[in-house]
Amino acid sequence: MHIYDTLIIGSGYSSLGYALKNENSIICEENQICDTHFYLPLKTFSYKEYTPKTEYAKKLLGIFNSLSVINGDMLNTNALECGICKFITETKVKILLKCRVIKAEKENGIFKATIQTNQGLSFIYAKKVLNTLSSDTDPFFTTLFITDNIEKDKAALLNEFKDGNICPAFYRNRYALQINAKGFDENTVKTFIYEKWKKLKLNAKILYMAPVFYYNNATDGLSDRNYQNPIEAFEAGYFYKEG
Amino acid sequence: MVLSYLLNGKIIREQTNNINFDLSCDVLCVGAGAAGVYAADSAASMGADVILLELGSNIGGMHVCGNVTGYYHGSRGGAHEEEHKKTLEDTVFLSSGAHWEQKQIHITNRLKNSSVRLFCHSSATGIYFEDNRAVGLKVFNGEKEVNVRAEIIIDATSDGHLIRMTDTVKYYGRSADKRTVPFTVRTQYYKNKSLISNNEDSGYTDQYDETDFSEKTIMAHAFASRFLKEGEFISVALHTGIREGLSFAGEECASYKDIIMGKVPKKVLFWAYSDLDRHGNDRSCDDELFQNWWVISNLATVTINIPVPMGSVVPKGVKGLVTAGRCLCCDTYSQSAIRMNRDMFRMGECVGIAAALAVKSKVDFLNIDYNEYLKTVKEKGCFNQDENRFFGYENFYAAYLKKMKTLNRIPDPKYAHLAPYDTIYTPVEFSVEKTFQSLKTDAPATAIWSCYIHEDKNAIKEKLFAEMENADTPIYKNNCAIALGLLKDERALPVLRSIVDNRDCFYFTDNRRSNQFRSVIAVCLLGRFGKKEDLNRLFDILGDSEAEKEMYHTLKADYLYHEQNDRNFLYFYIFTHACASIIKIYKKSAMPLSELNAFFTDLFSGNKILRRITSAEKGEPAYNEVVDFINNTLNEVAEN
Repeated sequence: MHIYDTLIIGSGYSSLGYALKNENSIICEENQICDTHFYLPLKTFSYKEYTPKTEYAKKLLGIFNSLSVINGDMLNTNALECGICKFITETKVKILLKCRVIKAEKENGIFKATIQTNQGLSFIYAKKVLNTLSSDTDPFFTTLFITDNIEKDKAALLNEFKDGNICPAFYRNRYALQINAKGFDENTVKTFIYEKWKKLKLNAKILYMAPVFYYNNATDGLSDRNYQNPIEAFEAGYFYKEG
Repeated sequence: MVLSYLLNGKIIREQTNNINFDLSCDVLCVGAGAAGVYAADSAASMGADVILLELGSNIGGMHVCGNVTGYYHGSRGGAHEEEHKKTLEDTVFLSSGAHWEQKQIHITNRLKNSSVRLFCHSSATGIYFEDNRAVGLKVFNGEKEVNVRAEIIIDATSDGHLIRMTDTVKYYGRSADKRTVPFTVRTQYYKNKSLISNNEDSGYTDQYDETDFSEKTIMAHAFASRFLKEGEFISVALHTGIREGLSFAGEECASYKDIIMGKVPKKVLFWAYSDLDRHGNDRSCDDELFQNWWVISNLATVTINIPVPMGSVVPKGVKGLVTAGRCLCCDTYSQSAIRMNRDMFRMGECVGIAAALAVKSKVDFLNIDYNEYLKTVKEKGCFNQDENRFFGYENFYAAYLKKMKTLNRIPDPKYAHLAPYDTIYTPVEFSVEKTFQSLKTDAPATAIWSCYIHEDKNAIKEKLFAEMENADTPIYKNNCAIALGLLKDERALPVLRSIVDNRDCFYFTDNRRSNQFRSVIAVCLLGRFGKKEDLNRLFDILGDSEAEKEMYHTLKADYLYHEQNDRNFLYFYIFTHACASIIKIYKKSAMPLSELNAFFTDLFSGNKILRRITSAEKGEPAYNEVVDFINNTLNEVAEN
């Protein structure tokens, strides 16, 4: 029976950083890649400069640069997922996808976590459990769109989505609309945005309504939500010490 | 009451008493994918009280989360036509067909307007049984475990997650060698003002092994990063288990043997529509009958109107539980056909209707009034789109135009009214009397198969031999030899051997893809005859100088196959079939496998075989495919 030092719930950048520093760790990610977002939860699509200190962080940044997913102060957030996966294949961090943690109970000083994967139920034993998820959130929802008349479309969208925010999204003519989705579930917020968009008859066409919920609330725990730079979030996890 | 669940891969049956059910319903559907959504909706529309559970945070399953933008095969019809129409009329999303999230929104609205109770972030962790009847589920809703009671449960998880918790016999992977499922990665990017999609066959994964699944998924997504330079990247999505997934022992089986032989069951659940859409390039280890269809007769892309038996969604000996979607009782070959998106919408709708009828009549699923069922599904249009279709060729009009241009021919004016995304359907009839003449052409597939299935095999053999002997063209002689060889008549051997010795790489033009080279067919047939005197010519194919021959490096521009730069298809086909045929001859002749073991171990040592077939790096799909073949071959000849 293998006992991990740490079971990390959720696969953000900070989780990866922590797992690489603390080698006997395992990350459980509930989503399959097609529905998961390693790049969660960055506050905006723009990039705050950060100089990496560790070799792993430099390697991660190197991969991102080689894939050209950073352009000045812009991040190609959808493409980061490929870069992250490239990084994981090269660093061999232990991560289980489609892995839900049902419960984690302490027995004789060790956590026995019941997990559900495609295999069914099984157990992971760990001395410590770090939960990087929280239901205490103030979620935003992002819609990627393309337009060659941003001024006109922006005015119409912001008039409709009064608390929304529009920013450039890496490629020319590509933008992101962010709205506060508090109280909505993902299916409902997509429909809500769609109905509003349809009414406006815009030049702008939606590319992707990524279910990108990101969180407004800072936390002391292991989490990406405090950062606007994935490398910074990674190293925050790398250097993270509880308490 | 017994709670049945999977723990560490084993089924545990735990006696439980005094279970409090937090929720109850008539129909409990697990999985809000293509089939599940329409199963739930149709059951609710028939008056059933329905709960729909979904693991993810949004609905739609693979065809939404897998970023599918269009359809190929699958018949139209049923409730989904409404969403399909809305999607095509839509102007909100950028799409080159139908945007996946666009579809998702319309499906969400459908459920919102129905009485279905939808719970996301919910997965079933166990099944409650009373004797052999499933009566409810233990569910984890993201925060706690709850118990839900139901009259009938539908497993629409597509990967059979509920079925795996039962004692029903399960089958997984390719029947010949138990190889696990192939998977695809789909990338989308924006280029030249269009949304472009790319599907990449990415190798094999055991999706029930969380470590293998995770590693392969991450590797495939890492590999997809090479598309970042193709255009303005939008997304990448995974398609797992969509072929050769889980099947199980059901009350009836949708077997490919019945399907290609045109057999129709007494009670049809619905009709699917597809060719036997196997992916991957290694056909050398496939079932013999399947090879007869796909390799020898070159019928890979013949589309079939497939009658799916009612009992194929009912696990044997289990009551109260049925499936909807691509997990059903079938074999790995039919499973490659009964999985198309549009068919899954209709299948779900049909299962939901049947489930609602079962609840209303208080009978088991298979005991519903079939006439009432048939009347309902036909009225709703989800049963069978085209009752006049059985076997046929479906060619995309755009591909037809491209072929005509390549061949410098003028397109037939009778197709002038078609749009590029339309298809040209040509019915096929397997009749020796009607198709024998096609043996004289470069499209002999139908005739070869017609000879094979003819009732009077002796008469056909004599005719084929006579025609072969007197053939006035090489093409006629060779095609007759192939048909005769398929009937296991040794008189075909001299011609088949000549095809192999001459490395005849003529290919039939019947199909729109996967066309088989004549050498490949002949090599495959030689193995079946099991003659020791053919060993030397087959071993020659595996020799050092073979791969350098010009024919392996000069595929014609109009070859009807998907070109991929990372592998040498022709060499791979001939090589794999030669290996398989050598093994067959050894086994038939009771020669010592230890000799082959030593030979293949030496042959496959180092990277030389790999490098003859592909320049791909370790972990890339083409590399993985060759490695899989090598491992399978070595297993075949391993000493016990």
